[in-house]
Amino acid sequence: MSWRWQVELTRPDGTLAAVVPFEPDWEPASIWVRFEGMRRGLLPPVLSSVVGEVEPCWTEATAGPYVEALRIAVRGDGDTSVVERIPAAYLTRQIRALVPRLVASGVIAEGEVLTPRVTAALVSDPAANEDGDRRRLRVTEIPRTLPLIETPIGWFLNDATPYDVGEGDPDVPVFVPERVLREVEACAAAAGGVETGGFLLGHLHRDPARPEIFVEVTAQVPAAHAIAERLRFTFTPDTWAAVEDVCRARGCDESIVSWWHYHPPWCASCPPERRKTCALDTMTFSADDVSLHHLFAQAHQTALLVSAKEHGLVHSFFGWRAGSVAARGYYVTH
Amino acid sequence: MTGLVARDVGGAWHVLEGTLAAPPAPLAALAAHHGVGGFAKLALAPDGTWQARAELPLDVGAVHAERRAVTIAALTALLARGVHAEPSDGGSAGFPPSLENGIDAVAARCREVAWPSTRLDLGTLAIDLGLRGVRHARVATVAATGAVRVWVELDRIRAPLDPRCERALALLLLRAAAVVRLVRPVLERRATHAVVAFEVAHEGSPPEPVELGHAFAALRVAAETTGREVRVLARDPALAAAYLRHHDLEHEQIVHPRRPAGFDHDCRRCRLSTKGEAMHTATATAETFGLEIRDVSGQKHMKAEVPTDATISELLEDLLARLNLGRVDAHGAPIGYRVRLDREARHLNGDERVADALVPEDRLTLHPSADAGAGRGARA
Repeated sequence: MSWRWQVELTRPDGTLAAVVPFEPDWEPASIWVRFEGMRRGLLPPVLSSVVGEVEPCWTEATAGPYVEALRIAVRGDGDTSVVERIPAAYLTRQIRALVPRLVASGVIAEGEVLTPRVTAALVSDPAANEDGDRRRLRVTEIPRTLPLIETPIGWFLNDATPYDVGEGDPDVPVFVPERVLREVEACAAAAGGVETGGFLLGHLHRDPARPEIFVEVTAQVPAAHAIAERLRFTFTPDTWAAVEDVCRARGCDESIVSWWHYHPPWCASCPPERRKTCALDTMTFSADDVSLHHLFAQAHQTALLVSAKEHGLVHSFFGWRAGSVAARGYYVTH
Repeated sequence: MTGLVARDVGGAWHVLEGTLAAPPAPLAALAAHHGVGGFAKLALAPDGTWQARAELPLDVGAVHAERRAVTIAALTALLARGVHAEPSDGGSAGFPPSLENGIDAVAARCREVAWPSTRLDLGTLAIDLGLRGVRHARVATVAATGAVRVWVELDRIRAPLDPRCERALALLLLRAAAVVRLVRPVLERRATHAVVAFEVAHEGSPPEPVELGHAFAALRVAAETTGREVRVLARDPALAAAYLRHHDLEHEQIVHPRRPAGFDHDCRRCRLSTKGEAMHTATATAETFGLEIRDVSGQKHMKAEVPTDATISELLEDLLARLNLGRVDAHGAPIGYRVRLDREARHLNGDERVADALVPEDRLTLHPSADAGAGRGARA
């Protein structure tokens, strides 16, 4: 079964501005669904980017074609499969990415306010992937087992303070030592008026009794060879090379479990009344940050944002939830 | 004392140093430590100069003058003859045999300065340096000379060592020798393995208790400073290559000290840079070969059959599409990528050809250049 996906762009007066076919990228959602299966012990802990089976969930009391949510099924060994419902908002970022092309081709006007609605239609005879046949590369995925250390999560919870973690929190638990946060803060303080950033290294643990997978942060590594500016921080290819070298040099079988960056106090020189309406002062995870986080494609990988506010440095964690990047909680260990 | 400069530091140490006329190959410098007298050693200073140097404690009493005389003679000889070439075996034959004679007296002196020892065998003492990984210093009286040698083993590595590992290790140890007082690094090559160690050798009069105390403290710092790095550099050629590259040392000078402008059959880079060489042409005759490709997150790990006539740029274009990696940022601007060859720990240039730069089963990682921050962005 295959589906043809389109997005209808409607003006505020209800008239249709455009109907645009598009090919959604189901990979982040599929990776997240597979990881949820691993957390529950339903799927083996093997990394894969193979896209799951996607079906639309229609808006309430209709038989289509408007899509309210998506149902993604990822199969494991044998008959086991994990199914998750993903809100249609998952596609918002991808629809937004279509806009520059539509403006450039004159389909929509720049600055026009439009409301998107996703539609889906069943295709009985899907077209063959001719593009794949034309390519000169043959690529096959190498299955890689997620390195998990069997540890009761209680060992960590007993010594941890939760931040922004609610009852029944759906996200994979992340434990960050207070010492690491202090190191990050010291790097942020040393950066002065420009942004700075780095990586958090750590291990993945599994508590088979629950079952649950959780993340232990063990160290932070400042980003080397990065380009720091007042409103931007660039991770260059040399930055990645350096952190990979550090990871191997430490010899602790750690991996990159998170990245962090610091937003300096842009608004310190502005009067308080102006700050109330200033976008920078309320800035959290920017579109650039979300875009960068898509490079941290594993479902357990998170981002730590350190922001300078009037009362001091504020930490916020972001991570994958239902294939999208969302604010999330974390635990500080002492 | 031609070429040697002497100075006292903080009233506690007497430093002797001279600059070598010609920079030696790191391995040759390390090998030159075997049989050198007194506290003399070769070191690579943080400013990049190669030194013959020694640090002598001033609080050791009358024996200081004796140690200084032996050390000056050794340093003068080192500076006069220089370090010209790596010996054919690249190192020493092994640790000299030890003597039982006098070891009890040495043990008593260790106790005097609160470094209690354990007898390992008839002629050797072990002193716990209080380091993680149960690392002990050892003390023995050398049979041939009567010198009391104090040393700490950092690692034992199965032979043969990769040349890059060996040279990176030598460089690391010689840099450490410039910043850690008293100790000198040695690389002992044996039939089945190599031993990396730091040592302090006391010739002539037996070491005073305070001298032993200085030696143990210095060995502890040296082991703590370099132990972990030694273990990694000794076993990971890619990281060793990265280390060499990081220190911005010329390929000819570091990788091939004996062939400054020549060709090395053991070096793939030399082979690839010389037209018509066997491996160069062998790789070029295959139409495709297999590579391992990874993204930076570790999520995507692929096996790719790639055409050997493609350039790295062409390969990258195809890989980005097949791995479904982000091509544009939040504002539609393209995200740049570079391909890192793990084996050589370097980013490949776009115009290099697969056949020239890569060998089958090479591992490549795709490194993006990507922005975080408030930048041009709106709220997510």
